[in-house]
Amino acid sequence: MSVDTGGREAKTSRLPLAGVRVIDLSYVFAIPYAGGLLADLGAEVIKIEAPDRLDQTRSAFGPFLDNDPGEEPWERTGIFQVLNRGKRSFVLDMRDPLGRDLFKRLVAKSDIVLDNYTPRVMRGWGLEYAELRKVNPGIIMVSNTGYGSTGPWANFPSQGTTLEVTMGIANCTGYAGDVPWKVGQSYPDFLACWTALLSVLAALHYRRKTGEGQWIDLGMYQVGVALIPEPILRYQCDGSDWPRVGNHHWWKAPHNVYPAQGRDSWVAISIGSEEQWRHFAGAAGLDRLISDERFDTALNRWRNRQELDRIIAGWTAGLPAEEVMHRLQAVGVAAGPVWNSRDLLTNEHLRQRQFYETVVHPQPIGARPIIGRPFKLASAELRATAAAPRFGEGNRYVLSEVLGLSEAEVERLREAGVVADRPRVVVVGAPLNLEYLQRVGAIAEVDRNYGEKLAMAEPATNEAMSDGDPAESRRAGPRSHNLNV
Amino acid sequence: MRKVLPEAPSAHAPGALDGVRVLDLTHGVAGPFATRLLGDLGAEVLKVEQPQRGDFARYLGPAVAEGPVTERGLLFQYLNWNKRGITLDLRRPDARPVLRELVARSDIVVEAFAPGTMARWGLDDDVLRDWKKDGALVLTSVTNFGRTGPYAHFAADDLVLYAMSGIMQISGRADREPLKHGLRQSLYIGGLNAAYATLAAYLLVDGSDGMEHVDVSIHECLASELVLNVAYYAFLGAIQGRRPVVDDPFSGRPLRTAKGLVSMQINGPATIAGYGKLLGQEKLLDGRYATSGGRTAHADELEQVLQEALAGHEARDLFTRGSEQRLLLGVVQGAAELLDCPQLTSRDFFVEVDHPVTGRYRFPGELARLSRTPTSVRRRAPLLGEHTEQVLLAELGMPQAQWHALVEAGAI
Repeated sequence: MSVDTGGREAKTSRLPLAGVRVIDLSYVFAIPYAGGLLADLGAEVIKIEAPDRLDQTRSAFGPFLDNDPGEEPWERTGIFQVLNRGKRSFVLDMRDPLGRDLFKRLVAKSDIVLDNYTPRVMRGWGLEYAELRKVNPGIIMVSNTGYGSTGPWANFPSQGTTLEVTMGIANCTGYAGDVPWKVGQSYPDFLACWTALLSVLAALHYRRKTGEGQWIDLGMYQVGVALIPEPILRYQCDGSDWPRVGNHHWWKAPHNVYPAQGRDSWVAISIGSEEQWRHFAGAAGLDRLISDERFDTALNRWRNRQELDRIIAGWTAGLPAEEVMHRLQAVGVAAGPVWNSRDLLTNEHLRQRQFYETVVHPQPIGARPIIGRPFKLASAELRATAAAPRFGEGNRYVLSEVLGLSEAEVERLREAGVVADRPRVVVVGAPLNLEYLQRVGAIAEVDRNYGEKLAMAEPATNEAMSDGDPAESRRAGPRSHNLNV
Repeated sequence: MRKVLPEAPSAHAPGALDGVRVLDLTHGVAGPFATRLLGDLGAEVLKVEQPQRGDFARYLGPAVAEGPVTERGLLFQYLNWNKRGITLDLRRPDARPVLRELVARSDIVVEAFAPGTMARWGLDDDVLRDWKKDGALVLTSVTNFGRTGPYAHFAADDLVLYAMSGIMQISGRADREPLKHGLRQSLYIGGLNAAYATLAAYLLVDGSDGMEHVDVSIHECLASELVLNVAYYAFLGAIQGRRPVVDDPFSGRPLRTAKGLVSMQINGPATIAGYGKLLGQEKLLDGRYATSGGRTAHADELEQVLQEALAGHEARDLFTRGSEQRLLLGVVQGAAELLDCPQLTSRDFFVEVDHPVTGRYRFPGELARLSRTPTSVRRRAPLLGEHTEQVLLAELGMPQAQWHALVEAGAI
């Protein structure tokens, strides 16, 4: 796919980060996601990968298109497309002094550098902030590490799963009486992603006012600790530990997930006031509970919550989860189904809000929905500005247009192996053993007709992208496209 | 450790958002956390609370047992430092001229009322835009499901948001009910996202006379975490379930030791041989445990071997020694361990804040370190209505008669 900037400026000039260039050295989830969101905000994001060390989201994490790694597995993983939308791909060997020199020249023409190497890597290359600042005093650099760049744990290896345990949230999470649990997928990565965005946007504001850049030392560990003030404060009050209570609440009841009609179907219900309790009992046909002395006060409902849960489960088990939601929401009671990915991708509320955006990827992927942003701007239309790049797709753009190198110079760099258009390693892509994963429950279901169902989840307004410059509409995948899956 | 004394002016480096004025009309957790994060970055935040009762977060625990009931809450302090506070009843017509003045003097307004509430009070986006005569204005709304769409008016709390986000479906054990994170994670991440989205909008309009509205959905903040899960469906139709009942003990699941729980993962340089050496357990070198598939197939036996080995160690010691050997470990930490953590202490993470009613507590501080414009805690959270007089009389220059009328009417 050719890289074309035609028409890009006009279209993005109303975006918050129009004219901002980001160099993204990061791998895996946290900071690549931040880079993808910066691209949505209008920045030009150049993702750098090494010829022989690809972002792990191009292989290990999968999932491969239709579970087939194909001949170019690194171009077929779903996760990579989500995290790296809107970026250019520049394949550069930073271990080569020529590569580091090119990188510095790029820094001179950029605004933001993102990295998530352990602290010693950038230092080892002589590319830490102090060095980059010499090349460009306005540069804003974000270094994301597990524990921050200083302190006794600075060089400890970490990943989302181990950090989630260490940062304290797992101790407050899990079934009553059981060991601590993690929840979701790599939660700390997202905390780091959003903290990076907050910090970098604040730093950009400061630079606009003063011309000065700075270095953002982001340790994922402490971001997690900042989001659990309750146990930290309670411990100082009375020396007690926060209990693990599953989905129960420390004072509300009922507050749990209840089985609904159908296989592995659940509905969450939470009641926080007397009024809601009475409305709930009425809507559930459980009026008798109002006068039941086991449940006549908030405290009694909380004390007898196990018994109450059994009674409520008896009501919900005979109804579809969505119906429980609608019946209770109609009377102002907080209730909602435990949804899976299909429910979400085909959900009417999210469709109307265009939370998922259909992006047209190069073949064989074609049009697929990806997660957009959790907010809307009223006047600027934010969206994924382009599909994630193929490996090395932006090499020519970066070398010729940004750095102004001649054809001959570009060719020399290619020959020297400093830049590459294809991976110089064998990228192993193993399909998922779906049968096994289904047997143990890690995969609940494989839906062969997913393409059809996603086509129904097309965004509500889809006219916008049909006019304008054709080159631009190629970068900004048309929303009106039918899903080609 | 940094200390904050009441009203003590503390010398501090410049903040990234120095000079940015934020009007905080929010309550609860998500909205106040968003404005506090902006305040930490240097913005000047003015919090507006309902007269008499104040923000309901004032009554959330943890709290001390004595003192005026509005001033006992510690969580409120955490969510509202770096703000001055006034009381003003936004529902009343006589409060309108005051609010108009405050909006005119603000760059950013953040609100967290149910969708339509501000409009019902005659405070539509357009009204605020007109009030802001010169310069840019960002108005941010932080709500459960966003301001539009069929669920805009749905009731929700952390549990219901987690359920509907898709996260619970994949959390917990396959043969048990879905599980949510403890505490109120959805609200904190809602605040974190609202803070950055607000800045993005501000970067867009700053320097113009434009206005931008930011509509943040906390539900969508949670749903944004499912980058892998949603791709599983969108790329191959697979719907993820929860954790299998039997799994590889080296998947990071916490395991009991003689003291505390440790979590271990095998990945790259973190090999099973490395763990065998760390634990002094040669049985781990058994070829059947070499692959994740093998460890899962022989999970019962392996669990037995590990239990024996772990019984001779303490979690914290394993974590430290193992991490120094570049193994991939986590250690379950509660408040006591975190407050005593050498890493957090070394990074000067906790902030000790004094308060006239509760006294001193240690709070989590800086999220990320900005080298030139470090975040700072410059003032403790306001007492209810602490700055009403200062702001209305001294700064807005309100005539005494109007002030007394507002007091009389209960509007402030």
